[in-house]
Amino acid sequence: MTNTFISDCRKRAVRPQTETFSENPSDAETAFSLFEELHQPFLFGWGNPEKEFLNKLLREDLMKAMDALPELFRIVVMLSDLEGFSYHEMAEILKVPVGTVRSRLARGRGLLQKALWRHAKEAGLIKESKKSSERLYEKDKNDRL
Amino acid sequence: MKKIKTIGCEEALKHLLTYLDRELGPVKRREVEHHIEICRTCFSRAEFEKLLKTQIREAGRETAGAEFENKIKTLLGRF
Ligand SMILES: [Zn+2]
Repeated sequence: MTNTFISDCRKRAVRPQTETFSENPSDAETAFSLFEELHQPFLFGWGNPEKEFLNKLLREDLMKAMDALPELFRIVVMLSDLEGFSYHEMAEILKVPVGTVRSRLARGRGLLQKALWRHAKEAGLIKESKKSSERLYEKDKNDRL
Repeated sequence: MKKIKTIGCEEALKHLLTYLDRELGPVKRREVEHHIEICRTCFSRAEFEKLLKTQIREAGRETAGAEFENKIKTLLGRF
């Protein structure tokens, strides 16, 4: 990360933001945890479900999920996880309080994990048992049992 | 050293991501660290979140550096 890039970021971020997105994350979004989903009883029997899951995820999947995040949240996840900015630096770049950075980051990560989970189900990375079908999508008939 | 307060899973998870971002104050950090040492579930959870973070970073690196910086700049430009 070059200094010119950082100052460039700051310059570009000066414009005040008009946001339509609610700053108050719904519990379902922030609280969503891939880890917990992977630890549902129907997945027991896998040696290490979460590691297995991450190994199957392609980088392309990750980037697609990232691109699909609403901008407000994508930017903080990118600045933090990809660029390694501190909360304080992000607050400065985005001209918002540190608490806002923290809550957007929590929500962004929750949304990202939710998207990855949905993708994993659609791509058949996760096999569901019948018991879990009431809380999860119906499995495609062509899938093997 | 001062005695570390023992916290529960809920409290530890609440601060886990901030902890992994290395943004917790020293007292909370030690509490979370201590909990992860004694709780197997939270330890695995921490490992998972760490791994995911690493995967995201590596996925981002694969996108050519300049192209990626441009992506961020474009995003910031919209704010
Ligand atoms: Zn715990």
